[in-house]
Amino acid sequence: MSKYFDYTASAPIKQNVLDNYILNTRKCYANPTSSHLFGLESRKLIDEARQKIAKTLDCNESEIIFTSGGSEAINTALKGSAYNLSDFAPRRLITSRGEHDATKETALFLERYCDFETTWIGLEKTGELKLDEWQAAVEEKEHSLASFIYVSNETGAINDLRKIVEITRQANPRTLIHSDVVQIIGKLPFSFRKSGLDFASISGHKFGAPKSCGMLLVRDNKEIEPLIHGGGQQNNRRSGTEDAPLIYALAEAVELSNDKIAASYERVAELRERFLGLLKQFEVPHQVISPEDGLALVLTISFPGLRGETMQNALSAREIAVSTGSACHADQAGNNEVLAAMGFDKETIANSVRFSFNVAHTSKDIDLLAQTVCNIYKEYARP
Amino acid sequence: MPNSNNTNLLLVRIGEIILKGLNRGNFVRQMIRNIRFRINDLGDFDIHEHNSRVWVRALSDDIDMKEVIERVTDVFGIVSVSPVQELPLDYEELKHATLNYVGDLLAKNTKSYTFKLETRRVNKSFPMGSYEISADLGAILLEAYPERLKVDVHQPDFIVQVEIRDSIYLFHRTIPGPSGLPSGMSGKGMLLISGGIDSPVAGYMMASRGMRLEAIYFHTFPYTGPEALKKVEDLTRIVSRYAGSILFHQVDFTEAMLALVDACPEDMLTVVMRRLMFLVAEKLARSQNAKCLITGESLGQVASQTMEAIVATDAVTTMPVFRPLIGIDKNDTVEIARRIGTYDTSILPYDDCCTVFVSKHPKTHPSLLDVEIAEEELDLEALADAVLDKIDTYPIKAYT
Repeated sequence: MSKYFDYTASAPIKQNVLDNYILNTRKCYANPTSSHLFGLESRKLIDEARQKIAKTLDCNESEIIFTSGGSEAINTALKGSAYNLSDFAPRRLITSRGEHDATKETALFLERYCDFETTWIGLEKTGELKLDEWQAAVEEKEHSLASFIYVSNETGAINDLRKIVEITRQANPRTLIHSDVVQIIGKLPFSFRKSGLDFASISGHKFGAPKSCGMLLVRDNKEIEPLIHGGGQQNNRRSGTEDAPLIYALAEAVELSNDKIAASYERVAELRERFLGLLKQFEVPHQVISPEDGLALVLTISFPGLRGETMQNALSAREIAVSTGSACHADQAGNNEVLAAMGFDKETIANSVRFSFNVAHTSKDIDLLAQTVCNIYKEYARP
Repeated sequence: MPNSNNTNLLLVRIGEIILKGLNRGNFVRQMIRNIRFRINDLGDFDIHEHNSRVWVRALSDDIDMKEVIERVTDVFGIVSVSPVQELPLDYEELKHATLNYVGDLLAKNTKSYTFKLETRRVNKSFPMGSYEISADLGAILLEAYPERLKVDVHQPDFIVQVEIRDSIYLFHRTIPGPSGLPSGMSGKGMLLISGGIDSPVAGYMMASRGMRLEAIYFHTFPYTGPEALKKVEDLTRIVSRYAGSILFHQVDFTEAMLALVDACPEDMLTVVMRRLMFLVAEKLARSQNAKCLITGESLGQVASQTMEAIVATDAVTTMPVFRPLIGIDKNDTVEIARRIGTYDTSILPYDDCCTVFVSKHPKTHPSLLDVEIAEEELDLEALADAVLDKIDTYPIKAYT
């Protein structure tokens, strides 16, 4: 029985991944840049990891930079590109109001320290960035950098990646395009080659790898200035001794979660429908914030008359884990900037709870969740 | 000027309490108990009063005197503390020790300093006069460190102080204490504590007048989470650094709160909620032998702290309600909170029930008639009695 409904914040490590990780950590302790036999063992592990990832995410092995996670990947893409811009390129970045803090704060950093100007694009009521606004902005002014979240960690809203890349390229072929694809990896198929992106940021612990690993995919002909200087590892793009067993765990987790990805997704979509159906059946008043065609795994709901925090506390006391918005700012009820950008009022935002489902959940788990939510609502809500 | 100077003896100056006539002995004994309470986990100490001062002597060399000084300077009733070196009544030894003492200080860096030498000769049988001692020791120091020291009698960087009593005491630091009266000399009060800035400061202020504290906190789980409770416990722990161990009463207030929400007009909710809290606190205080309630209210600060709201709240209790912040500006309260170390915890973003259940448009000038009407369908006494059965009590203290 799984009472953990906070997969968007973090997922447990997959059993196979963990077993091999422990094994490899014991076995492959040598520095992968050492040229002795032991070092070679570690390097082989990394090479194998690159192959797995390249195959799963449809990219070249040389396009992978391993990082400490999603935030570092995003920082590397944006700062690394900014530091590398020609003096003649406009110092202008376009992004949306629906971004994860890693992107938002990096944009603010670039404004403060690198003379950047940011164009912030608003969100539709359904959570996607406003395409027409984006198009008008890129056509009006030349932007050297573009960055958008593929799937919203707050609502599951899916941006039209193909269209965004297309209109951005049409307006200016030189724009470097980055996407935060953290929430889609391991949930829906993703091809870096077909995406047309220059950069994609990925975090391992969202799909069953350990924490502190992730990667930035960088299109082969694009250059970045590294964030971390040192021994010149990873083709001089990210120094620091690689953790071969961790990198292998990352690759294995990507590969495993890509297995039967379509069937898993369908199953999760069923669970989500089941949950929403039960809420209706139990007559629990609620407003679904997440768009209908968003990622099925993320479901943000606002319960009138009951603060999200109260629901979370009461569920937590019954050993059920959900979250009030993105875990990165779980303690600031009503201050969720993404939901605010979607046009929701403070009250609705303060009353919102994010459930995230996984193929590991059973129908029984969902029934228990719905029943418990219903009981809590009846006991504590004061609409 | 560097600190340093290894010493195992503290001279503690006591203020107001020496004025307290016949009670003086009790006051000093209580203060010694309070000092002991704060430091006894750090090692063995001899603590006693002599010549209107309290002396704290560490009985072994491995005691962290920096920590001892830090803790002792938080004890109410103390005006100041000086770490001192104790010497026999012998001028040659004093000369030698003064040279070493200042030498140690100067060895910390290579800067130059201005200094002054002050002597107090309480023991009139000592053969030399105080002026003579100061002049002579000053000259010896100047001769020993001509490049590093200069005399400045008006604004010196440091003052070497010599006190001649039944021993000679040598020191250069005087660290201010919080003054006030020793905790435990003025009875016991029940502090209504929340996670805000004001109530911990109110508790601190009453403790500074010698009052022992118990604290009552109204927890409304799940509306307020475990973080909110932890925050209030942390605040209580900080206040207990000064006030001594605080008995903490955590009240499960959810059911009572919901009864109020369901039966009470929205604009009167805050006043009625506070009345119920006062009633519960009073009943608990009586059973705990506390003689007053303490709150952090400040006149006019929020809707529930207008004159009328305070009158309406007070009408529910016959116990005196002490409000040490009633005439204090918020900025000054914040200043105190920063000084005593509660501020950073108080501003953590976890809500307490006062913020979760706040009325949108509270009546700012409720009359007693308004209260009567608002409580028509409520039996406050019965609610309070039910709440009293749902209290979890445990001591909170800063030091083990």
